[in-house]
Formats: sequence, C-alpha cells, structure tokens
Amino acid sequence: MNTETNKQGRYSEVYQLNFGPQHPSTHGVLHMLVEMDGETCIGVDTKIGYLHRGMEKLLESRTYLQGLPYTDRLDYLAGVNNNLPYVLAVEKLLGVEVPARASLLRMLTCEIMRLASYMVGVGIYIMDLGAVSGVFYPFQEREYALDCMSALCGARMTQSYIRYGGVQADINEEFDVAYQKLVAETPRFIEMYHKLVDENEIFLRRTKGIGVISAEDAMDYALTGPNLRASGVDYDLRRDAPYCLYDRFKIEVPVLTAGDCYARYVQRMLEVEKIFQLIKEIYAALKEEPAGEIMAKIPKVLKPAAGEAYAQTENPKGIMGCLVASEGKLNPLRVHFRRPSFDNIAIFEKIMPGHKVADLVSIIASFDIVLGEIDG
Amino acid sequence: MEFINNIFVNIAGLVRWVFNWLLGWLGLPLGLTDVLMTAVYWVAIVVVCVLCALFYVIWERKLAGYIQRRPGPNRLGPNGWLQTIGDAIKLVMKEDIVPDKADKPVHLLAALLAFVPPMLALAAIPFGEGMAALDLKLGVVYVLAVTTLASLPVLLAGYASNNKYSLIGGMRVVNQAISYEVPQAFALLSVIMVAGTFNLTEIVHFQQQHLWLVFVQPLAFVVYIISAVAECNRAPFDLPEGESELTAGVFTEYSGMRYALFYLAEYCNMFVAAGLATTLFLGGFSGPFLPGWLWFILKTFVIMSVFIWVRWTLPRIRADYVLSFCWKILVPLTLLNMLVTGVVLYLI
Amino acid sequence: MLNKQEVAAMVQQKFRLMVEPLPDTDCEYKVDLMTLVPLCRELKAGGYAFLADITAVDYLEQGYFRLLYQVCNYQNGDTITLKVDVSREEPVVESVCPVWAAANWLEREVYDMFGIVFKNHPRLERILLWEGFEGWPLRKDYVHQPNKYQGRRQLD
Repeated sequence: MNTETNKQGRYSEVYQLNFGPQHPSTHGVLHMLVEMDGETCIGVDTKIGYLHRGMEKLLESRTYLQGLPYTDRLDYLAGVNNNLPYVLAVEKLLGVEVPARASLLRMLTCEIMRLASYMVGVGIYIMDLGAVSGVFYPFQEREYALDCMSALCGARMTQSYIRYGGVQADINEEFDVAYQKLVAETPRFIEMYHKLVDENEIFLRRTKGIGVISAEDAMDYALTGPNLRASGVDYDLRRDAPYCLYDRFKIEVPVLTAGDCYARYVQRMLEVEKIFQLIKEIYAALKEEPAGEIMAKIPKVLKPAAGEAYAQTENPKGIMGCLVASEGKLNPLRVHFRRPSFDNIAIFEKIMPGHKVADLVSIIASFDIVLGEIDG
Repeated sequence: MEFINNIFVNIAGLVRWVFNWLLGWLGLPLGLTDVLMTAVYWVAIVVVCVLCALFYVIWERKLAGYIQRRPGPNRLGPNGWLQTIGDAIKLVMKEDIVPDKADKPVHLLAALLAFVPPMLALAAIPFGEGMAALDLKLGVVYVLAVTTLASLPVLLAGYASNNKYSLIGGMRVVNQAISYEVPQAFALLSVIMVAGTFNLTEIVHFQQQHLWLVFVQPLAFVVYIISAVAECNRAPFDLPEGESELTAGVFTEYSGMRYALFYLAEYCNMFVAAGLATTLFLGGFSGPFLPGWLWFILKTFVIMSVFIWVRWTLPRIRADYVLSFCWKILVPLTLLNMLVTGVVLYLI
Repeated sequence: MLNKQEVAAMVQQKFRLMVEPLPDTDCEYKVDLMTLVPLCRELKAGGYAFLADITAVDYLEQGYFRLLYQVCNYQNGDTITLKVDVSREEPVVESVCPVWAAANWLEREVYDMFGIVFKNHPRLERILLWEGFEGWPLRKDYVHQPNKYQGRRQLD
C-alpha cells in the first residue's frame, strides 16, 4: 500500500486516522475512517450506527399511541417536526380529517422548532470552526423558542405535542408572553449574528470554496433541506408539495448557488429570516381562526385500516419521510423513517477527499447533522 | 513611595544580608551567598510563574464567561475566584494514565520540561528597577532563544504519546514555532535598532527618557503580538491543540498532573510573551505614581486580557493559512519595517 | 419533465404488462422485478431526479417482501411510489445505484435490516449494524434473543 502510493508521487506514508466515534466535532458518534497523506484527506469511509436504537423495530412492537413519543428522539433538536410525518401517515390510514386550528398549531410549533434547530445548526458550526463564543448567542435565541414550547405543552425538547387527529393543547396566555419575547428578540439576534460572523476573514477562509457540491451531485445524492438549496436546487416541500395548511401561506424559499460550506451557513441564516416571517404569519392566522376543536374525533383504540401510507414533511435537516404499513392490528406492521441526515451524509465520501483535516470538521458541521437521526 | 517601589529589591538585599551573616557565623566562604541567592531567585520565579498561571486561568474563564453571556465559574470561594485551585487539586489527585505503547520516559519528560523555558525567560525580564534575576547584556536575544525552546516539549509530547492526533499536533507546533520565530525576531530587531541596546532594562530606560516604543514602532508591536499568540499556541493559532479537529492535539494522551503542567506552562508562556511586549513596547516598569513592579503587572495584565479576548472571539485558522500568513504577509512587512527604520535612523 | 398523468401515460405505453397502476391510489405502481431498473431510468429521464426513499415491508404470511421506492420530482413536487414484491425465499433485486447515487446507502440499509440482496450494488455491506451481526432484525421471523450478546469481534 505504502510503496504503491509513494509511486503516485506522495511525499509521506499514507496512514489511517479514526475520526470519531469519540471526537468533539463529530456531533456525537459519527465515525469516519480517513486515509491521510500528511494533513490531506485522500479517502473517507463513513461508518455509522453507533447510536442505532432500533427505532423501527421498537415501533413495530408498540401500539400507535405508545410509539409516538419515540419519534421525538430521532432529530432530538426538533422533536415536533419528527412527530408530524408519522402522525400524517397514520392519519392517512385512519382517514381522519384534522381541524384547521390543529393544523395551524402544528405548523406554528414546527416552525418554532425549526427556528430552534437552525439556531443550533449555525451556532455549532461556528463552534466547530474554533470560535467557541459563537455558540452561546444562538443558544440564547433557541432558549426563547424552547420557552414557547414549554409554555405550550410543558416539554422543551421532546414534546410529542402533535397527536393523532390534532395537537395536545391550544395556545394560552403563557405562550403569548413567551412568543412576544421570541418575536422581540429574533430580529436583533439575526442582525447581531450577521455582524459577528459574516465578514470575519478567518471564517470566510475556512468556509468559502470548501466542500463544494454541484447541483447535479446534490440531486443525485438526494440531499434535502438547506444543504440542497445552498447548491442551487429550488425545492422545499412546504411550497412544492404542501402538507397541513402550508398552501394558505406564501412560502419564500431562498436559494443560493455556490454549494460550499459558506453557502450552507448563509442559507440557514437567510432561512431563519423567512421562518421568522412565517411564524408571525401563522400566529396571526391562528389568532383570526375562531376558537374550536384542536382534536378530531378518533377512536380510543387505534386500529388503522390495512395498507401502506407514506408522508413527507420538510424538516429542519431536510425532507423527512415516514412509511407506515398496517395490517389493521393494534401495532403497525412496519414503520420506516426517511431520515434526512442519513441521506445527506452519504455524499461525504465523494466531497471530502482532497480537503485538509480541518476542512473535514468544517464540512461535517456545515451539514448540520444529528446522529440520533442518522442512526435511527 | 521609594520604599514601596524598591520593596522587592530591599527584601532581596535583606535575604542576602541574612545569608552573609549566617555564612560568617558558620565560618563558611562568603562566595556561597551568590549560589544561595540564585536558588532564592529561582524559587521566587517559580512562585511568580505558578501564581500568574493560576490567576490567569481563572481570569480567562471569567472573561470568557463575560464574552459568552454566562456567569462563568462562581461557586468555589468568593465569586468563584478559587476555582482554579480546586481544579488544580483535582488534576493532581487524578490517576496519571500513560498509554501502554507510549514512549514512557519521554512522555514524562515532556510534561516536566514544559515548565522550563518560561521560567528561564522570566529570569531575564525586569519586573521593576533592578528586579531582573539575570540582567543580561543580550537580554532580548536570550529571551527569544529560550522561548523558542517552548515548542520542544510539546513536540516531544506529540511524539511520545503514540497517538496520531498527538503526532499531527506535534508537527504543527514545530511548523508554527519555527515560522513565527522569524517575524517575531525581525519585529524585535527594529525595536533594538531604535533603542540601540539588547539589554531589557536599558530599553525600558530608553523609553522612560524618550517615548514608549509602541508609538515609534506600531507595526512591530502588532506583528510581535500576533507572533506571540502563535508562539504560545493560543487561539486563533491553537492548531497543535485544535480541539475541534485533533480532539486535544498533543495533549490527547495526557491526564492528571502531567496535563496540569502543560496547562500551567501555556499560561506561563503567555505571561512571558506579554511581559516581553510590555518591556519592549509599553515602557516596562516605567510609569507615574504607582511603584514600577505594579505598573509592569498592570501592563502585562492588559496584554494578557487582549490575548484572552482574541481567543474567545476568533475562529481557528487552518494550518496552511497559518504558514502562508506568516511567510507571505508578516515576514515581508517586518523586513520592510526594518528597512524603513534603518533609513530613518540613518537620516536622523 | 413529466407530471403524474404523463407518467401514467408513459407507463401505459412502454411498460404495459410489467407495471400495473394500483387502483384508488395517487400514482402508485406495482412493478415487476425485471422492469424496475428500466422504469427507473425512464423516470429519471423524465425529471424524477430525487430518489427519496427505499424501504421494505415483510409480509410474512403472504410470503414476500415488498420494496417501496419513493421517487420525487424537483420541479413540481410529485411523488411516485413504486412497489416491488420479492419472494422471501430468494430475495434478490437489481440495484438502482447506477440510476441514483442516493440508492447506495438506502439499499445498504434495506440489506442490513432485511437481508434483501441488491445485484450490482457497489458495496453491499451492513451499515447500521456491525459486520458479524447474525440475522436480519426487521424480518418478521427474526427471533430476538435477549440473553445473547452479539458483540463486535473480540479484541485480542
């Protein structure tokens, strides 16, 4: 091996570096076996599964109601968003019509948690580049979003707020107070964070032109979410295949074309602004909506009709899909999740070779991955 | 006033007098006094080193807390100011783990050696009028030579740990230290050209008589500060440690006491760099009203705080940019600065 | 670029006997094992560049695995579901990796959980579980052995 590569004009012995699973910047337990020539990476083998909890197997052996809280633990930074595809798929089998107010509440909480998740995404990115202070400001902002959720349903991270047929609780005064705080703080934060990060020379050097993904590659590897849109593909399920009541609203989707780490960061920051706008619109619509039911009439014991149903939603990390196959029994025959981070990181093996070891960190962090979701 | 200003000099005089008296009483040759005094100086330097390190560790954490909108350590002692001592005790009590296949003697030696260069360097820095343990004629050259050694124990640590991350970190240390030595030396040379002496105390005297050299050589000051940060392996040049890339870089396989030694040595190195910057650019111990040593400590404190501020603000630079920044920007700048300085001095 | 109706027409025209539209569904097709890859190529050429998902369902009683492919169109957001039934005795399917690179990991996951073999897959290995794991955990006849520890290979 060594003599072979030396013939290829390398200066040093090629060695293998275990990047992870215990490593501060692999966001948990991602493991990459990196072939290194000095400090340059020449080959990557991504190994996952260290956090595999057998989610799909677990759901098969639980009733539908027991199974729902498990879904929060997939992308644990945005619990509500994971409930949604599962609930939508089951509702398809049940044939339940969800009240409009419940749909709006679902959208509102999803957008709030999307904001919170993006905050973690940009914050951790700066931290992984070495500016540890950068993480504390978005986390403060995320705190306001989590306070909203806490006021609404009593849980902060794994809420299981979306239920079959509706949602758990309606908005209350406590939520309004927390919401006003969120609305007051977010624009200030966005402005400050742009000032803090965007034009930092070191940051630009570390991100521009690093980990470039062309639009063709992004589509071929089925990237979704901000990572896809940063590569110039204009695709957002909320607008292109609306679920819930997203078709009532005008969804603006920013699209960048560079496809490098910097574009992925800027994409998230641009989307934060749009999400914030959308939150305000949904909240206004919710206030106009007459008070009413937030739960459809569903049977006490859920036994969806036999069949297969598939639902997709736009999650903070990308498109989350959920397949539920039922045989008309108390528990599902099969549940499968399309976990966006899982599909997103398959491209690592293609884009990483040729980069320095420091850039690997930059690329991993720019994808905003969550290991709970990758390993399922 | 004069008494407070010279308090440490007077204490040293007193100790020397006591030694002389003791040796005379015991009937031993008086030449031993110098030997004993050297020992006292070393002990004093070690104490200063450790105290500074302990203080700056907690100060850094407090300042970082302020920058990051969080309280920082606030439990142990008044407002958490005793936190470092608690941490130090914890680290000393911890099991000392040495990897099975590490080069054990070198692994240990690296941790011990880490402390030596900053202490050697501190010996030559004048803390006040007549307060340099070694008042060398070639003080600047001596300090530069000794601080360069600081990268050696880190390289040894990286090599001895038998860990790939450590090895990469060790290689980065050498890369960085050798490269930034050059602009640092050039920056200091232009100062020396202005002051006309290598002796640190005399450079301070020169500044007392004329002007702080930071106003004469602002570019050299900036370059020196940048190189000093790089020499001390501090963020944004903390590539050898590079937490998010190399786990803990060279220190990956160190734990307990040995890790604490490296940690303290890092702060001592910073203190030396800040002390040298104070002496050469900010007028050293000169200043009105307050005693000289207090001025020195205050100025060093300001520079240290700048180091900390920079660390908690900037992202880490990539390894290859670190080198290209040094060779393509800093070195030409300092050379140009030297040329201009020389021409101006010739004309005056 | 094809929308759902055009896809239906295309299927009628080119794959009349092999691909059967499922009644009462929104663009779901039951696809014959042999026609899967040609149909996928046709769909990709028609603008369905986004392979969202590949997964399987084990119908133990009926005696087959059902593979589900979700194929989406970036332009109009249409999703087409392809359902392929494979016998449990000889679970071998042609890989769609040459069509969509994204199929690589998705097929590995299906192989990992169900033991369905994908022909011409560049690297068919377990992905979530470790090499040396015995059995295919999401098959309905997988026997859970709580008292048996399936560790990684022992370090010597």
